[in-house]
Amino acid sequence: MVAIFKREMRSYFTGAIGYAFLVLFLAVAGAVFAGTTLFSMSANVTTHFMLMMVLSGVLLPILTMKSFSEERKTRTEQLLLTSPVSVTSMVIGKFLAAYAMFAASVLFTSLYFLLLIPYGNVKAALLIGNIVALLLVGAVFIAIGLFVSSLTENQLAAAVGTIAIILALLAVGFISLLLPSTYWLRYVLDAISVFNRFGTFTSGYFDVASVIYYLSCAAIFLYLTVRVFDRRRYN
Amino acid sequence: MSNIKEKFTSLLSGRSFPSALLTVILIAAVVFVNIIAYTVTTAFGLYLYEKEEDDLSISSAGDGYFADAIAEGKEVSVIFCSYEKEVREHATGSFVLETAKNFAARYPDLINLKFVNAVTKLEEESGEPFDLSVYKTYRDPGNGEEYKFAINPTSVIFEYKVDDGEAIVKHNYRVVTDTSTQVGYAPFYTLDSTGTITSYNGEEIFASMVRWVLNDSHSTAYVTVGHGETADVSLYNILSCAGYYVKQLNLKRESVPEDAGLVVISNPRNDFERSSDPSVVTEISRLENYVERGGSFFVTVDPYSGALPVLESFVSSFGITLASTDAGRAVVKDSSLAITPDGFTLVANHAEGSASEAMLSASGAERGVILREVSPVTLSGNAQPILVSSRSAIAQAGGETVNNAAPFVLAACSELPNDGGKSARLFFLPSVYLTAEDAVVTEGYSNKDFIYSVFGEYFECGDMPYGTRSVLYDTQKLENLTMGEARLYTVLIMAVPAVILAVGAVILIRRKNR
Repeated sequence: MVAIFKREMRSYFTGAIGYAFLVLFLAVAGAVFAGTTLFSMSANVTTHFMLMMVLSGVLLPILTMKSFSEERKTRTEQLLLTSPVSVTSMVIGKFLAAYAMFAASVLFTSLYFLLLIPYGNVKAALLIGNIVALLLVGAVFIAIGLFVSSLTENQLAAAVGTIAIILALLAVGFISLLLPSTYWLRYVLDAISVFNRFGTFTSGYFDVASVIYYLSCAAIFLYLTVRVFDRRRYN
Repeated sequence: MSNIKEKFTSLLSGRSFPSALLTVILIAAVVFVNIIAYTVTTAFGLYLYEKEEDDLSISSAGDGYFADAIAEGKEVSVIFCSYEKEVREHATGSFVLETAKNFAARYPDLINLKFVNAVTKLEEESGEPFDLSVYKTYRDPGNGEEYKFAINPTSVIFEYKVDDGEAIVKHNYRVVTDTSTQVGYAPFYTLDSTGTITSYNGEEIFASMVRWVLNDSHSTAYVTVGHGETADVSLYNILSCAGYYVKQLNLKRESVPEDAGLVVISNPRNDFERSSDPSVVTEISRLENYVERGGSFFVTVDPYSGALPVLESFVSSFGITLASTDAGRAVVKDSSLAITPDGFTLVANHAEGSASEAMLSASGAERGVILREVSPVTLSGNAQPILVSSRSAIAQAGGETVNNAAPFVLAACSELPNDGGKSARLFFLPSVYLTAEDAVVTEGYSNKDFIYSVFGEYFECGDMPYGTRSVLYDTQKLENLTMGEARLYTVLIMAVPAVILAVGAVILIRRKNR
């Protein structure tokens, strides 16, 4: 798993993908930070992280689109599947590499909020809650990206498919807003909405159920990815 | 046992057991766990939540201006018109009770708390009848006028009573009652135009009310009406806390009354009346009559209001002239030190000069005064600068720069000697923002203390409740961040991806050429 992780990390920086993700993520996060805090005269972290959560749904597929599609396209997938590494280790190794890139970017951009301390009241607990929430949502998005990438050898199709699934998951939260508050379907949609679950963190609550939800979502998609390769390996 | 293990291993690897079934079972289990977790947390509110407690402690601001009263053994009663338990359980009253207890704890010899049920008219501690009706009217010993107060269960009465053993020889009181909202205790809070609470000002109200009842004489501030004036509620509150009775004055109908301690002209839209015939009594002649009596004026105008030649002429008789061009009044812009992106919200600082330095010394308001859309003024005669812009400011009119000789004078005061021996005084500021609610309710700037220093020092209205702290409801404003700093930080932040882009490009090109 460590070998896969190192290989994947190296591949990010031997090609353009790693740089492209970092440049885009940091530029977008910087612009969002400037717009939501510096030029809005507000130390409120919530808007920044809400926007970054949605934008991560578009940016993270850059990292994950080539994870398995590239291997399949260049026929290195056969090497991986026949190497003395379990499919689970391979999937988790690739997941951790993408997640390390994402987590490093999120943690670096969170340092921006240190700039605000001399000027206003940055609520540390709320900031930490939002960082944790974004890291959890990122894990789900990366797991989805890896799963979609394992289904196709076309990187563009992988990226578009991932964005489509993520947007659909986010849209669930908006659809629930259109329903009457007493309607049972709204309760169900709220429960499965990535967006609504994120809202509890941005409101300052550390919601254990949402932590379980995000971790289990990520685990399900990673498991499905493992199943895809298991099936491919033995068929 | 080994058979089970083999079957389980086989199941996991998906070779001989249907992996689809296993997948469905696993997903169902995960969904079930999530349903349980979601239902339990939603039903029982099992969240980890850091509740923020409001800091209602009081500052040491009152130590100075209560020192004499404590030394003289004076005692002020603070009477709540409900029993303590009811006040504590009241959404807005609990804060007021907390402040009252903090005052009583800090000044135990001066402050005495009482709780009276406004309905049963019984005092809580003694159970004795307590007559609240005596507080419904008040005759000021200074001007002899009678004032009426409404009393309800959320009223708070501040009372200073002196008796010589046989009869009451002094009885000053002030009733603070919420007459504007149905919530109760609203005068202790600042509300915005939608009725939303933006700050709790209990310390300021307590300090000023205690100070008010300890004083025997009180001036009256007359706020002019009839010209579209838009005086902020916060200006009325500050005048009240400064110790003034506040009344409205229609100069078309009446002269400035004899008891006037101050005339406030706040952001008029229409000009004042003037006549070329000196025998005709006009608004300006009434103001000029007040000048002859050595009156005090607090004048603010909106740079974007229509032309006010009569008022401007009256102000210029004090040696203060508004900067105007053919394109309209000039407005000061400071792109680097402003605190809004448009550059028109600036932080003004005290100017050099005896009047300004006296105000600064009295208030200790060193954090600057926040102003928005302010015109520069030019001074002559006795006029003195009070607030000035930074050196990076420019003056614009009609979108064009008309003056870049910063710093500009943004507020000024002036004395006009008269035959009566007592000089008339005028404070002038060409901006509407000084007394706006979000400008006075701030931790970053000193607008409120600055206004108090104008009343206390320049108009010699006595001690002011300087330095009292408010509890802000929106605590996440970046109050001291200037646009210059915001732009610098943005450039620094955006430099990081630019550097990564450059490094990545170099590495990839070198790798390709290798």
